[in-house]
Amino acid sequence: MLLADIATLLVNSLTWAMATFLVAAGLTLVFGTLHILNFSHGGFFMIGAYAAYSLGNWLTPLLGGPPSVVLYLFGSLVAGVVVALLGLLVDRLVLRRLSGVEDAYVLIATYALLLVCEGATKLVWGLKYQSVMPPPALDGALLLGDAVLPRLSLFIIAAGVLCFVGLEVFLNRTRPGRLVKAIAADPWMARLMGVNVRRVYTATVAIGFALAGLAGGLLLANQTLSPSLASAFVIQAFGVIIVGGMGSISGAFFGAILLGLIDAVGQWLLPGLPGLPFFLAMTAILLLRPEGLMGRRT
Amino acid sequence: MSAAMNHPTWLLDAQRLDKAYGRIAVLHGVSLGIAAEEAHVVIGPNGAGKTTLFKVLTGELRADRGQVRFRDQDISHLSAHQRVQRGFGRTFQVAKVFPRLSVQDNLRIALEARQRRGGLWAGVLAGLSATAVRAVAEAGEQLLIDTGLQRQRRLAAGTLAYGDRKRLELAMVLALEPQVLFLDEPTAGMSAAERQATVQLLKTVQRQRRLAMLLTEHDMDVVFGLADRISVLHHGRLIASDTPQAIRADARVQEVYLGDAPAEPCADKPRAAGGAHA
Amino acid sequence: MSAPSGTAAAASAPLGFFGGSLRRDLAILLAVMALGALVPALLNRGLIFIAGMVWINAVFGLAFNLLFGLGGVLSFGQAMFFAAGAYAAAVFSQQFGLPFALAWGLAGVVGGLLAGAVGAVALRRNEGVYFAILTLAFAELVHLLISNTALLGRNDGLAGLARPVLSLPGLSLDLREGDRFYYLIVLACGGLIALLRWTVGTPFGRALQALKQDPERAEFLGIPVRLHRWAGFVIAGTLTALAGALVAPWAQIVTPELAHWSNSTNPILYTLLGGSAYFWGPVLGAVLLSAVFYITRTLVGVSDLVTGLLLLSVVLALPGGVLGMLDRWLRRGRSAQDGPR
Repeated sequence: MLLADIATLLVNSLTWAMATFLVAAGLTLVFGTLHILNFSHGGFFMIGAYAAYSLGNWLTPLLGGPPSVVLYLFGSLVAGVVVALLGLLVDRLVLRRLSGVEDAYVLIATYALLLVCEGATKLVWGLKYQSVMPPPALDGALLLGDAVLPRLSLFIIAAGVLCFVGLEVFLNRTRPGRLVKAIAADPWMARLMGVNVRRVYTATVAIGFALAGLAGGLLLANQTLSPSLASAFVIQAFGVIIVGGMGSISGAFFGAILLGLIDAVGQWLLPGLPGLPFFLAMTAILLLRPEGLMGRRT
Repeated sequence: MSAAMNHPTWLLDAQRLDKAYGRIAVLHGVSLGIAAEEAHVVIGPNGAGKTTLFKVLTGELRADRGQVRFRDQDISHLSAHQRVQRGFGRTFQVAKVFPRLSVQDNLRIALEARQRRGGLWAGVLAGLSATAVRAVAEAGEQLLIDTGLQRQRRLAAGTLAYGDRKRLELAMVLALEPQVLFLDEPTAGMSAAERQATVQLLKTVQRQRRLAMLLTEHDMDVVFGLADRISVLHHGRLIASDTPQAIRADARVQEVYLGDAPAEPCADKPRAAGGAHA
Repeated sequence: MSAPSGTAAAASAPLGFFGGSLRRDLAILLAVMALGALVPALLNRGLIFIAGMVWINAVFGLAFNLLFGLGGVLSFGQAMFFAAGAYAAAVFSQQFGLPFALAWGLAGVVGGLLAGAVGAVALRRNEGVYFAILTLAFAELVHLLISNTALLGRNDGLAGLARPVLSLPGLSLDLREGDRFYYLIVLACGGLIALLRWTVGTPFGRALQALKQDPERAEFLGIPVRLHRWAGFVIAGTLTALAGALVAPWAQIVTPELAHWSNSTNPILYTLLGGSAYFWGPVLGAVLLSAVFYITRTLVGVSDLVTGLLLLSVVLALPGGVLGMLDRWLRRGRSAQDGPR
């Protein structure tokens, strides 16, 4: 009995953790490299989700039969590409112009961009809350003894872990990835070595936004679709990257897991106040170790 | 080290300061004493630790080990602004003023900060009292005259010429009525004539206000023109601390720093204003 | 902020926080209050309500700019004080039965205490980014707590709030009738604006400007920088709560929406649009944005879009806001011979 409860707690917290990590990964990547904290990341995540939703709605009747996992994944990929393209546009029109600007104004600008995302979403898709059913293969649950493990949760956990592994491999074992890391650490030096830093920045932005869109597509069936998705996820993502260390992918990964566990345990102890443990944990970390678990003191 | 090291009446007494950045040790057991109304210059090659020593003494950094005492009280744990309130004043190598405020307001802020030394409440009351406000206005006026900046009083401080900025900064710091003045390379970037003028200004200021001064400097004419005592830092260690004469004669110092000392013996006495030395 | 201009232009730029004197600004305030008092005679009920909200939001924006424009501190969570004031006023008057003036004052105290607590925690680290996110997080926390507290009406908030009857020695003012409460709003907000303007001209206000421009220099003049920032935060929180407290009797309902983070960004919008380097900037911004919101209110999503685009263009193209733009036009119009003001 107790084991089943623990298993459920674990699965729930890991699902939340991986969902948040999927959103936070792109955010921390862009921050680590360009040192811009992109408030609008949540907005683009939301646009990715809606894009995947619309695509699914359009293709499903065409293909006939119930939607498959392949379609779901395809939708996520398309969402990733669409948002990446939007990201390139945003980079050209907005992010580049923010390079000399004071921090406070950069924050305000990216916040403004979030508002634009929210407005555009409301205009195009309306205010209604939508619920998206997962493809049948991901519906239902696995039974492990007494524990009920929803298939969708396992899918999300797997997606998060894969994303983490993929990013770590990219950043640490591929040439372009290591270039990104080098530039994040010392752009001046990189320029001296002849690297086209601007191009790498643009590529990083594209990857970061692609991750946001991808996350939107992958998480589509996990929560209700509404224009308030952006703000909810942005704050969670902030919390995770602050705890993990801003700019660190592994920090975001383990920070998400830590916060997920803290939140789940907190929910179990204090069921009346959802989210409270999360805020307390984030505040505590910001006070005691502001550079985060894996961050470096600047 | 001079036998006067443990002189009981040091105004500022630093004892065995150690400071490391991570694993890079910058200061090793530096002990330094400055007497009241003494002009003390710290010299040493680049990287010797002069700036770090400055930061530790003024409260910008905390030492890892050792103590800083001021008027026989341990101030090692005090922050920079607390030390200023006890009587420290500091100027920076690149003069720091408030660039988008007028010259007049810059001085006013310094004078009001002086008033606040009696505590936050004293500061609030001073802001409300008409006498205090008038006192600030008068003192500000006097400072403008002293520094010759009356005509520029309404200009944004950031638009002043470099020399004027330095004068403004000095005036602001003097407005605090400090007991010890920390000057970080006060003649950096100046021409020979400007350097001479600065030396004279500092001597006058020191005499008139009976200040102790601690400076770091590179220009030897300035050093020997101003110093009552000189301390020499090398690789984070204090290798000598004595009168200019003794320093000049110290073999170790010569070896480390004054290796290319001029052939003819320069006078230890301060130079006359407008000396011909380039 | 805009890039540094040439020496001549900089020399005649408005120095400090504004170019005007206390007397001039108080005159402007009285004129605006007089205009404001004409509103009920000229506009319909709906617009009078909005006018009242504009006054309240103007104070909200000014309090924000005390922190941001004067002190250089960016808070993304001011809504928590606004909501705290509104809820406190509601609870004190409706549930505790206190007279309005007392409830209003206490609401301010609540805001101040909250700001003191949050500030003590959030200002521990010097980097602005952490402070901005911490204030965002704390505001969300307050939002969460309000939405989940039965005593505060959970998601429905507290409704049916009555407008007060003021009993002063000798006379009794029944503000329940019609839009009479609007006049109280004008008076109260006018008083708060005067207080804010006075603060700017005190040594404390000057110290805030100084520490914004060069915190290290301020520190080395003996100004306790962190303490001043905290004090500014508390003052802003108190004034924000006092403004929010007026919403309780005016709208006659308080909901958790008041603590939502979008309400935190309203003062940022007002300030940047109007011009953060000018005392009256947030007021102008509040008026302009209220107009924009009113015009776009029926078109779903358009207000977010317009607001976002507006804010974005201000940051990218017009960092001085509307007043900054006007200022530049006026100065360009004057001959270059003019000396500094």
